[in-house]
Amino acid sequence: MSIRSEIIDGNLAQRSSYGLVYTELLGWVDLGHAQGTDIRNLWSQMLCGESQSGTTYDVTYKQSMIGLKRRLTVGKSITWRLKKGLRYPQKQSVALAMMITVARKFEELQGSFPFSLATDSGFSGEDLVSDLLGFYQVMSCMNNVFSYLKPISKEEALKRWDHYGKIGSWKNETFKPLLFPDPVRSPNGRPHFGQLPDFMKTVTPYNRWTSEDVGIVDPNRGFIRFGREEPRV
Amino acid sequence: MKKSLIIMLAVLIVCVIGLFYALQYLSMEFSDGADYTEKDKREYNFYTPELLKNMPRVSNAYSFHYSNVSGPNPALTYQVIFFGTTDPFKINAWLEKNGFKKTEMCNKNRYCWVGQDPNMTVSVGFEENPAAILVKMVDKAGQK
Repeated sequence: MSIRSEIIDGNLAQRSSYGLVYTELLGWVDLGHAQGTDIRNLWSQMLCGESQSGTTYDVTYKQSMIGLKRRLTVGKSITWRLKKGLRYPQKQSVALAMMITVARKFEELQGSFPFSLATDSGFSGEDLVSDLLGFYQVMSCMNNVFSYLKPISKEEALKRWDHYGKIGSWKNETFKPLLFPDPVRSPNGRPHFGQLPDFMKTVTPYNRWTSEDVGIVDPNRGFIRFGREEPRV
Repeated sequence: MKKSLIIMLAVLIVCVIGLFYALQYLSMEFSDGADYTEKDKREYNFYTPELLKNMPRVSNAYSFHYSNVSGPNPALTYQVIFFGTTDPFKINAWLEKNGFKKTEMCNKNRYCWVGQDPNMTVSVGFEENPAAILVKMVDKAGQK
């Protein structure tokens, strides 16, 4: 979840790693969630696995939150075992299924006690759709995905925020966009679900569990890691 | 009987106060973000890393921002904004003195710096309207 001061101009979305933008097609997008770094990491695990000996390899995907000054990291992870030689689209399906599975578990964790006392980020309206955008930023091979999403200016985005209230209070447990109509054009408009753009519907999450292509090594691991100190400078 | 009641009440009060502070600490520990100034002592002391605390104050008007990015790409970001100036000379010199090396232009009007910690990036940029210098620290230690 983001706070109001993190809203940036939609024109800056493509070259910024953090911040919150409003787009007409996906609603609010949290750029931290949409970086795709997690997907690149998962993809590189698959490439490494393919080059190893043996008939299968394991890949792990995780999402987490950090306690201040790195003292604590809390999160969820899963590990799946992949048969070597899966085709490119099959690997994409597996990667998407892993991200979707962990994202839901992680948002549940954030929405549960005691974290719910500190943050209303669990299933915050923009989280899951931003995660999905991160996946397609890597998989779609498009140079500037934001040019297709109709991002709006910072001034206009602030108006939406102020009219509908903070995004953390609007929950969305789906990967569909939650849209907030322009309050000037639709004074009585209510937030509603929109449709994903076509380029974000091209991969289907893996579900062929009857085949032996994918096995589950660890279906749901909650982890807490204790860190140490303040960042070294 | 009366004495034991007083002791019990005292213990209860201590527990309630303890719980209150524990919850407050937890809520700051996992808070999504905060905007504050140096006058907000509690936030300033809790959120601000030493690097930003010790940074030369290049103008009299400045404020801080902290953000805890959770999810697929967890990171902590800390920012200080100095209003009314666009001259980063003093800050750049101070970063160099503290072992940072300028790397490249990492965004429009913004240079990145790296120090000893590979997970941490510092960037110094400016905005012209209104004039301000932004120093941003991104800590990606949680992605390991």
